[in-house]
Amino acid sequence: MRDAERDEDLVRRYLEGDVQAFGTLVERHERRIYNLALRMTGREEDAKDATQDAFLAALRKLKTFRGEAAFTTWMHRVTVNACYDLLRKRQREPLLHERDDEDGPPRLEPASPDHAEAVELSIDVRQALLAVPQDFRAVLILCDVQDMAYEAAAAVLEVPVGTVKSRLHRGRLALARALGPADARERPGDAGPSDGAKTP
Amino acid sequence: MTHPEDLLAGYVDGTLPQDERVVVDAHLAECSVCREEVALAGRAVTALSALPEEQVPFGVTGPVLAEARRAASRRQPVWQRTQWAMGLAAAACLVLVAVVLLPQITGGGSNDAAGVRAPTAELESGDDLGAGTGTAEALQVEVLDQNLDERDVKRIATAAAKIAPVAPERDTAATFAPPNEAISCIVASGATVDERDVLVRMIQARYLGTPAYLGVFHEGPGGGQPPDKIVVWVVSSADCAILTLVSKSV
Repeated sequence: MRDAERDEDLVRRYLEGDVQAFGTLVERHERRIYNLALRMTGREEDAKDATQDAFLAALRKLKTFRGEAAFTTWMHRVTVNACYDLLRKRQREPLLHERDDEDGPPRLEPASPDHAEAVELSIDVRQALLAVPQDFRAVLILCDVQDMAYEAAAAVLEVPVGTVKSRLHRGRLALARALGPADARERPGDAGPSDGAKTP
Repeated sequence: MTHPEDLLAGYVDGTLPQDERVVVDAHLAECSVCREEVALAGRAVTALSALPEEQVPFGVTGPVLAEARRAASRRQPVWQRTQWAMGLAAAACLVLVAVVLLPQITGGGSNDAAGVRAPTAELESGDDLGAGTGTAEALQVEVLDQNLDERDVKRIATAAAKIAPVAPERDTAATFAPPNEAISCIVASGATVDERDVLVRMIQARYLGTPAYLGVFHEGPGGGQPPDKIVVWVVSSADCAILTLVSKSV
């Protein structure tokens, strides 16, 4: 029966002294939280740290959780912020195309076939994801990896829905470009309007 | 030309309403830039959807749950905390120690002359709780005057994994002490120890300068199967807080 209990009720029970209630919350959310952190940071060690940081931060802030937002939204927000903090601390080597500004990658002009042919880099999706600016990466993970609706992602990131849509599109472009020539070699002009569209 | 950029994300992932989809289709018929973007974005969506969901590694949330327990105990009324101080909770720990851990230690903890213990017996059921026939001295705390770091803990785990299911050797430089206090501390820390865990070694040393106990456990599927993992819990001997843990596959 406890599995069916609402997150918000588990929070209340923990604050009333039921430690097991928090354990249930952790068990329920740890996988999504860890995977969010893993895709945000790109390294297992960092993801473990970010996951712990996020749950510890949530534990400290539980008293301020009012239940206006769903717990999962709130928990994702705490996690994204923990990832930002950790990435800032790590001060990694600058990632490819790492940008924090709202402009994101420039819009594409018609591709030069020569340029596409010249790019021989082949990196996998996880690495390519790290080449996407952090703010866009967060949206990509929430919407395209975790299948979160735009509105929910907007609530997690505390930005307007329009910003989510914009970051999502630009983030996808950045990812596709980072994935390299295997994608770029295909003729863009061949893509009809319905190409790439998921089944609703 | 104005590009319908705000609509392209929904167009690509199929969430765009039909009326707006028609607008985008009309634009794409005339705009090669947006056609290319739609194609690229679609490939990104496909690539991301193929990313597997990873399992959470062992031990990630253990310290979180330990902190939750501590935080909850801090919120307890003073009289309850006083009771803890007076030993009621400690008594509960001792019960756990007696019921869960000591039978494992005494059940198969006979030492041979070389100081290498046979694998300790695994707890199977309540009937086995009293099955221990050895003595409480079978496993003692190895007291080391050493300051360990994470690499040392990993080395301890690796050494134990190499010879499992045989229990690891004791450090020849150690002096020895009774295990009860150390075991109580491991239990009180909130370390996720259950009947599938078999305590095979206990060390008292410093971890990054903090006086600590290191409990080395064989962890397996239960049912009499050999251990498939070594887990080393490191807890502060002062307040039984979890300092770190290391796991190593056998």
